[in-house]
Amino acid sequence: MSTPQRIERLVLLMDLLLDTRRSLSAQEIRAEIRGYPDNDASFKRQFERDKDELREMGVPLIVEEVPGADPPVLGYRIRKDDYELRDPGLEVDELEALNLAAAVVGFSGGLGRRAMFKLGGGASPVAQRAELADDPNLFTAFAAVVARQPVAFRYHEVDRVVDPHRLQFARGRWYLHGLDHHRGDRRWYRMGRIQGTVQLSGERGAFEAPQQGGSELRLDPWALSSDAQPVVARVWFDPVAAVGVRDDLRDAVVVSDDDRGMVVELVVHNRDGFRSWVLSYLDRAEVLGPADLRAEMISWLEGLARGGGR
Amino acid sequence: MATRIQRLLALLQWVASHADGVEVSEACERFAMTETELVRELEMATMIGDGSAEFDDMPFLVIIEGSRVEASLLSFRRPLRITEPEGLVLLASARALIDDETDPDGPLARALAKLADHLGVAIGTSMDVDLDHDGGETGRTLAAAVEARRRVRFTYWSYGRDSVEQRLVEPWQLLNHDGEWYLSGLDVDKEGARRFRLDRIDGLEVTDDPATSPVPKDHSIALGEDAPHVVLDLGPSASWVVEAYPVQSFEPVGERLRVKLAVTGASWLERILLRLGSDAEVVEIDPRVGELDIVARAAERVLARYR
Repeated sequence: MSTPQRIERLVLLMDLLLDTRRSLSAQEIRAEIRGYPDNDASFKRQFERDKDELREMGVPLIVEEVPGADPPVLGYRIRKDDYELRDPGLEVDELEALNLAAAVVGFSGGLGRRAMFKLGGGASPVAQRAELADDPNLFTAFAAVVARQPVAFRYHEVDRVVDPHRLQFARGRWYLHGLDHHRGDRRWYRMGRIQGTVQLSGERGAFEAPQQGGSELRLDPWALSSDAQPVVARVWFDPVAAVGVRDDLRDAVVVSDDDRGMVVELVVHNRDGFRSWVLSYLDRAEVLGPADLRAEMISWLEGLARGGGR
Repeated sequence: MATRIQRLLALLQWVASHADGVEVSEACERFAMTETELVRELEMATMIGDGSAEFDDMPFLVIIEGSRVEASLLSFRRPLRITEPEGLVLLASARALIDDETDPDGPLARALAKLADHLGVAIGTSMDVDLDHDGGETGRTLAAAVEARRRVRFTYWSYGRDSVEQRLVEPWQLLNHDGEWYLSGLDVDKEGARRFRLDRIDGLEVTDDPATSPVPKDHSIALGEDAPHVVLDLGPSASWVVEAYPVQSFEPVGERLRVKLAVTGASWLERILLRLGSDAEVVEIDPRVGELDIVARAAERVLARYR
């Protein structure tokens, strides 16, 4: 079946189901709409595909028993009030601004454009400049945040149930923040590290959205949480490394910054992450203090210089 | 398919909202379609339901007359609701462009607020997007140079080889990958296509010299096939290397994982090895990169700082 024929069939199917007062069985639909195959098995297959396509577009398809049918049979309809966009009340300039934003920052898959068509926007006015990474679980997680519905997923080999509070995109990745039911605390999860799929688990509106954002998402390797006591470290970078480091520092304190290099102080929560980060600058960085942190670095390097005991 | 149907419905709704119809050229511009495409879509629309005996089974009535088109809709007068995924995409796109300098009463901020309200989302509380959408000052300067076709000069820290050099580049395009901004372009002195990470560019200067090299259609710059290789044995806690770097092959060897990596430069490899410590062991190394004791030598060089 060609694309125009399939489009015609889908448009007629939507039209029929929007217009009907009671739900229609698959056989009634087949009789009304041309373009379905005569063969029962292929009709069934194609009808399933059409239903999937409608759902993907956002058509709220109601599946219920056809009233009065004996024996009982499943039927389909679309309630007009559910189908139609409630007017978000966008002014012309707001619509244009949104249209531009959807063009500049894109996702793969054309979802943003499709949404703009629904809102009354046109084609992309400009080329895309930046892409927000896609994630297979992103939309389920977002739906769960909006509906305040708990989700279940596997993370670091542990099955978890989480009240999803917040989704955040940072440094090219999506993160989910929520209350872990078993551990009883709020944590950040990197979406890409979730094993398998996120499942909705529980009722909509099952929890109250927290008033505060909870702990801030910290991605700096030295700031990742661990059980160790935080310590203020002092690090020197040569002028070349300093160019790149400056953008990364956030709340670190710059002690000095001149042609001899840059000295910064930062709060280290995670010693492994800190060591890894400093070593990525090779001999363009040096841990100045405190003495025990500096000694740890020297001992790590000495272990490797001697061949790591191997 | 879904996008094409939504575009068709949007087109028909927009045409139908003008009682006297619209110019075909105007519709083409708004929906970025050629006249042939537009007429093809509209003709398809007029065919929908025309096999039926009942006139009112046809959802749309479309008349193309000369350079004008008119439409009236018997169904689909209102657009379809926005799905949650679509809503997320729009919110994220709009949020990504709003920063401290955005006018809080401007059209984008107002649109975001209305849309968030429409979808029942609290921006900043239940979702947030922190995207450096233009690469900052360096990104904006380079974008202007790309546009004006000017050569640029800058100091570049080549991370893979850990060397600092002056570069003269004909800029082609800025691109964002995994949250980092890159410039692709022709390195004039090295006579080849290169990619530069924006946060390693210093002392950027746009010259008055025109960029004359043609911008290639596909300027993705990949590691060459002949890039040197290294084979490492990784302990269990180092297995993240497999997902973080361009691994060419890997196989388990007892408790450990043997991986083959393409190496972009000796310094790049030194960093990985210093960070992994005793979790990694060099099994094989291309002599162009170094010797089997590459990590010991690197550790001694860094240690020299501390002595």
